[in-house]
Amino acid sequence: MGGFGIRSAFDIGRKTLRSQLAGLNVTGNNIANVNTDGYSRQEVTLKPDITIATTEGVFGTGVALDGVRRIRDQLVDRQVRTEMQTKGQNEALERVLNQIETTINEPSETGLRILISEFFDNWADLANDPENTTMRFNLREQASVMVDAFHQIDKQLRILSDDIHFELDRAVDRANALIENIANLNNKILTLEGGSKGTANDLRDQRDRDLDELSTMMDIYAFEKENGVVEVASPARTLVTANFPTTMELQVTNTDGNLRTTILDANDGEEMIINNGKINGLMQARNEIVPYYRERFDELAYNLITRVNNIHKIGVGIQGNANEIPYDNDFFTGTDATSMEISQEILADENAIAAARKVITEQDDGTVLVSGAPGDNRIALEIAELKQERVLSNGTQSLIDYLNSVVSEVGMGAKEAHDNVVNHESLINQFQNLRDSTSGVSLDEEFISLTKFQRGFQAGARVIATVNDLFETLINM
Amino acid sequence: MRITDSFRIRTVTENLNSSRERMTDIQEQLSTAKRINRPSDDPEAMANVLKLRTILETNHQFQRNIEDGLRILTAQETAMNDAYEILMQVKELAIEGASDSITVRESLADQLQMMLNNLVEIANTKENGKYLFGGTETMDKPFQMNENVVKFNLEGEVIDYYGNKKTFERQINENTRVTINLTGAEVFDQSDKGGSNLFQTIYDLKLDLLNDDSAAISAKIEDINDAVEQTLKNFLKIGTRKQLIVFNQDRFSTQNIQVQSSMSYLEDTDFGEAFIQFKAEENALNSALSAGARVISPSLLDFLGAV
Repeated sequence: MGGFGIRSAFDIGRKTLRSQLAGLNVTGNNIANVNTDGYSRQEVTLKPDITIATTEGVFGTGVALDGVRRIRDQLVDRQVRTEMQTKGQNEALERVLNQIETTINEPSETGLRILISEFFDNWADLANDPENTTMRFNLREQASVMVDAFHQIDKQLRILSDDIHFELDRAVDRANALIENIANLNNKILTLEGGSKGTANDLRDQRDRDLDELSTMMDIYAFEKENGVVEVASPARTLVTANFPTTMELQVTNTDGNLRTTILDANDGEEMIINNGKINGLMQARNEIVPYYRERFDELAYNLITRVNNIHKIGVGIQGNANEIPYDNDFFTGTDATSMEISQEILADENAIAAARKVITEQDDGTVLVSGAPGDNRIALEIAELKQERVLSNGTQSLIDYLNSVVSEVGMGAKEAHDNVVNHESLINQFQNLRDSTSGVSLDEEFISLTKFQRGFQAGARVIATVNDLFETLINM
Repeated sequence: MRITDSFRIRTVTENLNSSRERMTDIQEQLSTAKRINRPSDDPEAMANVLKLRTILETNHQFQRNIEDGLRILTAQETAMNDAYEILMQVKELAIEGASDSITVRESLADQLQMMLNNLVEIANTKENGKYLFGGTETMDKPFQMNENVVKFNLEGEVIDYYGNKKTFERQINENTRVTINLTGAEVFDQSDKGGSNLFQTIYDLKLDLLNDDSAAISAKIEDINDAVEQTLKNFLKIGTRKQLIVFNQDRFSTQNIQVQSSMSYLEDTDFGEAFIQFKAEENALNSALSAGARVISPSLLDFLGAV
C-alpha cells in the first residue's frame, strides 16, 4: 500500500512548481548578472526525488532540488591568472619606458643632442673670431640652455622615480587589501558552506575576482583545499593560510644618490622578492631602469665637464686687466647632470671664456703675468674638436654618439615593452574567452531556460489542476 | 565553444580598438609628415637619423670655418698683390735712377718715400676689424715706421714690428686643420732667415739715390728682384691654401645633399603609401563597425515574442 495516491500526486505537483520556480529564479539571477564582471553562471541541479518501492511497483516521488551549481573551470582560471601576471608586468614597464622616452625628447629641435652640437659649433665659431666679445656672450648663453637641458632631464627622471615609488606604495596597499579580503572571504565561505547545502557562489565569485586582481600585481599560486579554503602563496612565502593574511610593506634606501625600494614582509621584516606582475614591473623600473638612465646622463655630463675644463684650464680669456685673470680657468663646475653649472667667473664676465693659450711670464717682482694673444684660437679649436673625438665607451663613441645610443636604447626598450603588451594581449584574450565560454552568461541560453522552466511550471500547474479535478470528483461522489 | 555575450562584446571591442590604433598611428604620420615621431617608432632608423643630423650640423660648421678662412686668405692675397705692384714700381724707379742726374734722383727719392709709406699701410691692413699681418697679435698695429725715417740720417730700424710670428688655423674637416695667415715677418721681413726686408730694401735704395751712388743703385736692383720673388712665393703659398680649402667646400656641398636625401628617406612619411594604408584601415574599420553591430545586437529576445 502507499507509494501513490492523491496526496502524493499533489505533492509531486507541488514539488514541480517549486523546482521550476527555483530554476526561474536562478535563470533570472543569471540574466540580471549578464554584465557583471567576474560572475560565473549558475545552474540549478534537479534530480529525481527518492523512489518508494511497493509491492505494486517502484514509484518516483517527483523532483528534488540538489543545490545551485556554479560553473567554473579552475584550470582555466589558473591559466588566466598566470598570464595576468605577465600582463601587469609588461604594462608597468611599457608605461615607464614611454615616460622616459618623452623625457629625453628626441628627435627634437630643443633636445639635448642638438644643444650639445650647437655648443661645440659655437666654440668653432669662436675659433674663427677669437677677439669677439659678442660671440662669447652667445656661447655662454647657449651653454646655459644646454646645462638647463641636462638639469631638466635629470629632474624629470628623479620625479619619475618618486612617482614610481608612490605607485608601488599604492600597489602594495591594494595587494595587502586584496590578500586580507581573500582571507576574510575564506572565513565567510567556510562558515556559509559548513551550515548549508551547496556552495557559496557569490562569495566564491568575489574571491576569484580578488585573486584575478592580485595576479596582475604579483606572482601567486592559489590552490583550493578540501574544506573550500584557498591558500595563496608567492614563491618565497605564503600569503594566505586559511584566514590568516600576510602584510607587505615598503622600505626605501639611498644608494649613490639613487633611491631604491625594497618590499618586506611586515611580520618578520624579511625581504620579499616579487618576480612578476605590476609590482615587479614597478620595482624593476624604480631600482634598475630609471637609475640606469640617470647614470648614463651623469656619465655624459661628467665627461663633457671634465674634458672641456681640461682644455679650457690652459687657456686665457680676454678680460681687461692681466692681474685679474685667474690662474685656473674652469668653464664648468660640478660632476654630474644634477650639479653641472657654468663657472662663476664666466657667469660674471663672458670675457673670461678662453680662446687662446695661456702665456705665463714671470715678472721682476716675482709675480706671474697671465696673458694671451688676441688672435690665438688654439683653445677654442681644441674644444671644438672635442665634438668628434671618441672619448667614451673605450674610445669608440663621441659625446653625441653616446647620447644617440642612449636614445636608441630607450627607443628599443619602449618598443619591446609595447610589442610585449600587444602580443600578450591576444594570448590573454584567448584564455579569457575560454573562461567566458565556460562561465559566461549567454542571454540566448537563458531565454531558452526561461521558456523551459515556464513550460515546466505550466505543466506542473496542469498536474495540480488535474489532480484537483479528481479530488473534486471524489468529494462529490 | 559557447559564445557568451561578454565574449562577443570583448571580441568586437578589441578588434575595433586595434583598428583605431592603427589608424591613429597613420594619422600621426600624415600630420607630422614624419614616419618616426619618437625613438620607439623605429629605433634603428632613429639612431641613423640622429647620426646623420649631427653630420649635417658639423658639415655646416666646417663650411663656415672654410668661408672664414677664405675671407682672410683672399684679403691677404689682395694685400700682397698690392705690395707686388709697389715693388714693380720701385724696380722701375731703380732702373731709371741708375742713370739719372742728382736732381732727378732727389725727386725719385721722394717718390720712394711715398711708396714706402704705402707699403707700410698695406702691411697694416685690417680685415673684419683685425690686423692681417700681425700674427696672432691682431688688435694692435703691427708695423710702426721709425719717425726719423723721413730725415736723412736714421739710427735704428726703419720699421718696428709689434706683431708676433704665430700663425692660427681653421679646422676645415674632421681631420684637417689649415694654417691661414702669413705673419708680417714672413711677408715683409725675412732678414733673420737670410731673406728680404722689403722696407729696408726700399729705404736703402732711397739713401743710395740721395747719396748719388750709381753703382749702389744698380746693385740694389738685384735686392729688389729678391724681394719680388719672396713676395711671389708667398702669393703662391696663399693660392695653394685657398685651393685646398675650396676643394673641401665643394666636397661638403655634395655630401650634404646626400645626407639630407638619406635622412628624408629614413624619416619622412611617404604620403602616397600612407594615404593608401589609411584608406585600407578606414575600410577595415567601417566593415568591423558594421559587422560588430550585427554580432552584438540580435538575441533570442527579438524573436521570442509573446509566449
